[in-house]
Amino acid sequence: MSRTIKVISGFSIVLVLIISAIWFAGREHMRLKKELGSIYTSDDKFELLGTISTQLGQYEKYVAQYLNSLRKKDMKAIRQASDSININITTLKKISENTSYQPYADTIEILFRDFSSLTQDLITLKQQKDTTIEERIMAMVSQTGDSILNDSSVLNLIHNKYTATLIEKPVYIKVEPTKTSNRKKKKQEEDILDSLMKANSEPTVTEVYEAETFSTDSILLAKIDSLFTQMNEELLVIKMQSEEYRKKVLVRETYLAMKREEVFEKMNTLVAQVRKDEQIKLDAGIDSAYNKSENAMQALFWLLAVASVLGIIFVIGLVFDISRSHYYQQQLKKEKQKAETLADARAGFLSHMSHEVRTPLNAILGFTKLLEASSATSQRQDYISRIKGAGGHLLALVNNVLNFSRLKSGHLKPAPVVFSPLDAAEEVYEVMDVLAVSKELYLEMDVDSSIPNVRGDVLWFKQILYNLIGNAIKYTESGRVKIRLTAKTMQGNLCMLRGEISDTGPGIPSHLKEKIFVPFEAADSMQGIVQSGTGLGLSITHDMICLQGGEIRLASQEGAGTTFIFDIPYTVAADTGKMSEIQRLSGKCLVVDDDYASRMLIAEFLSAQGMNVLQAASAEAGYQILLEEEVDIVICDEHLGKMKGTDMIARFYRWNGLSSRTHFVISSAELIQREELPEAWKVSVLPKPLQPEALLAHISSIFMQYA
Amino acid sequence: MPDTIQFDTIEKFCGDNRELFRKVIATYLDTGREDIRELLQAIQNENWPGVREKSHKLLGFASMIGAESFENMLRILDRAPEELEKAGINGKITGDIEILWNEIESAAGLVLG
Repeated sequence: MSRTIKVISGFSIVLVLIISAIWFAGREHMRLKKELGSIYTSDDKFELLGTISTQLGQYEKYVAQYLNSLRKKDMKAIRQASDSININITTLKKISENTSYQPYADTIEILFRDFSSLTQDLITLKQQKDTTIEERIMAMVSQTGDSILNDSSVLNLIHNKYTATLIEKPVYIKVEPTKTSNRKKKKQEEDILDSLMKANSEPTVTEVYEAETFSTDSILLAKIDSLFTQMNEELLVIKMQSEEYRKKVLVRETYLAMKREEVFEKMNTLVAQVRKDEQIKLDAGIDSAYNKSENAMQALFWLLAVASVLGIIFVIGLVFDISRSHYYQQQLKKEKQKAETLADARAGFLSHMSHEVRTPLNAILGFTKLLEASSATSQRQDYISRIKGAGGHLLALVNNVLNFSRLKSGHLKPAPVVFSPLDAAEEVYEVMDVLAVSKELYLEMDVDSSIPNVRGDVLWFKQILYNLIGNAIKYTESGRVKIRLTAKTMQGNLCMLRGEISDTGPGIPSHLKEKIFVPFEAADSMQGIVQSGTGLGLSITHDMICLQGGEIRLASQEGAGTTFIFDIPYTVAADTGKMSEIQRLSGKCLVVDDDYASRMLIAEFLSAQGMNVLQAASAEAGYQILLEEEVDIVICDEHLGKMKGTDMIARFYRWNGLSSRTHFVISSAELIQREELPEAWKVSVLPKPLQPEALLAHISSIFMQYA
Repeated sequence: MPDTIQFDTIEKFCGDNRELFRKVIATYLDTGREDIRELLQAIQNENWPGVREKSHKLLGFASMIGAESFENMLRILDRAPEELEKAGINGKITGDIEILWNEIESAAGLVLG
């Protein structure tokens, strides 16, 4: 499963779980909110009971006010308070229906009804009492039949006096004569009084009204006095009745107070009970809500825990996956490095071994030649010739192995220079024609004279031709080998060069055609058909062509010969004239060689090409010049006595740094590889003996490289 | 079979400058003679570092003129001069060197006229 799918899957699962948790939490929150809301609606009852209690207090207050004043205004307030209380009690009953405190509500209703009834009785009693006294006075006045007494001022006086004092303090009235100067009138009054005194032998007069207050009429006074006397008796009765009334009122008031207490007690009890019940209910609700909340929290916790665990597992898995991937990448990198190191080591080993093998081989060949020159007998000459042939063959094999290992390790790359394919082909032809003639074969060459000078690796081009022509000659016993070179296509400055090497050899079986370019396969597969070889020649040729962007194929028929066809794209050189004519150089060059003749030869040659040439006979002298002069190219021998060429370059870079534009060309008979030198150096290697064309092309390519 | 000694490479380097060509050849021969003398002396004295130095110095010229046998011999001397002593061919090889060098001088003489 790819990492992307794993990441998407993991995130999706965790995301779904988190969304589920959020949804669940939201749902539980709403549910609990609703439940808690339903619990707290009981507040209405408390509020209602509080209102009723307050209204009862007001009711009492209005009743007390009314009983004191008997004002209608207070009576109206009493009625309103009573109505309100009744409404609220009805509401309370309705709320309390089918609840535990419904009986309490019913009791409150009954008690208030009783309380209200008692209050009404008391009010009625109060109202009755006043009416009775009034009526009694008026009845007494009317019983006298005296119109004088009907005077409103007299009645008011009587009424006020009696109602004010009747119950608490009985009044006995004594009428005395007015202190007047009218002697006659005074006398009359004294007489009346006397007569009255006589009529009432035991007068208990406690208060005397001045005659002037009522009337100057003595008769009237007498009548009043008489009336009062009668009234006193009546008032005693009234007093007794009043006492009884007071007792009655007192009883009612006491009873009313008791009722009031009872009502309030019931109210308080009810409130307490309701509170208790509500508290229980609230507690139960809260407990329930708490339990539900706990359950919800637990569920939420587990949901989030699962999400977290899955998330952690997912992250760990991802990290592990990445780590593992990273580990594998690192391993792969290590293995790759190891493989590359091994490949380098192998290539180095091959290169080294090839080099090491080649040196004694050269010695063998050298000695063989020496023997050949000094041996006289034909038999010895034959033996020596065989040794020489075998040595030469072995050297060719070693060279092939060396080139193959360099190609495969990437150390061998084309070194482009401007060259003439026609001239290069001609050179190859001249060499190979000798070989063809020795086998009595006819070597033909057909070239397209319009092929221009191109830019490419001339040595590779020649090597390709040598290999293919050499193979053709080797495997052909009779007939001919033909070389054909054409410019297959020309597009802009690109020339597709086609080479065809055909022979009249035995041909290649079709089942071997695919293996022909595979390393070592040619030798294995074609044993018995063709002559021995390393099996690397065609593979090297194939790689050289492919590395230049070209391709190679073959057409062959058993018994009818073989044709190798290759196409290589080359860039057309700007000038298609002769090499010696086009290569003009400039710039400053230093030639460092301890051999005077070689130094002079190269210096003169480069000077003739247009370069400003300096010379040094040792590495030390060359280094001194480099300190003083800015030089474009330094051509130095590697073996320069105590200080080698590479030592001079190293010292130069230590002193000048790596940014210098000077390019060094090391020439040596030794097989120095560029890869053996520091990568940062601007340095290239040319094998000795130096060839003028190669040197010129090399310097040109350096200038082009830095242009 | 004697080597085919050619001075083509030097000739190419010198181009049309015949004077330079002569001068270079003459210089190679002059210095070469001196180097050969010192090389033979070193072989006789079993001065192997000296043998290495002189043979290496002569290698460039030998390879340039296609003196293959001489070049091969110089390579042996450059790489493993001690082997000569072990093989007991010191005397033989010095004689061969002289012969080969004489061939070179003869060839050069022909070229220079």
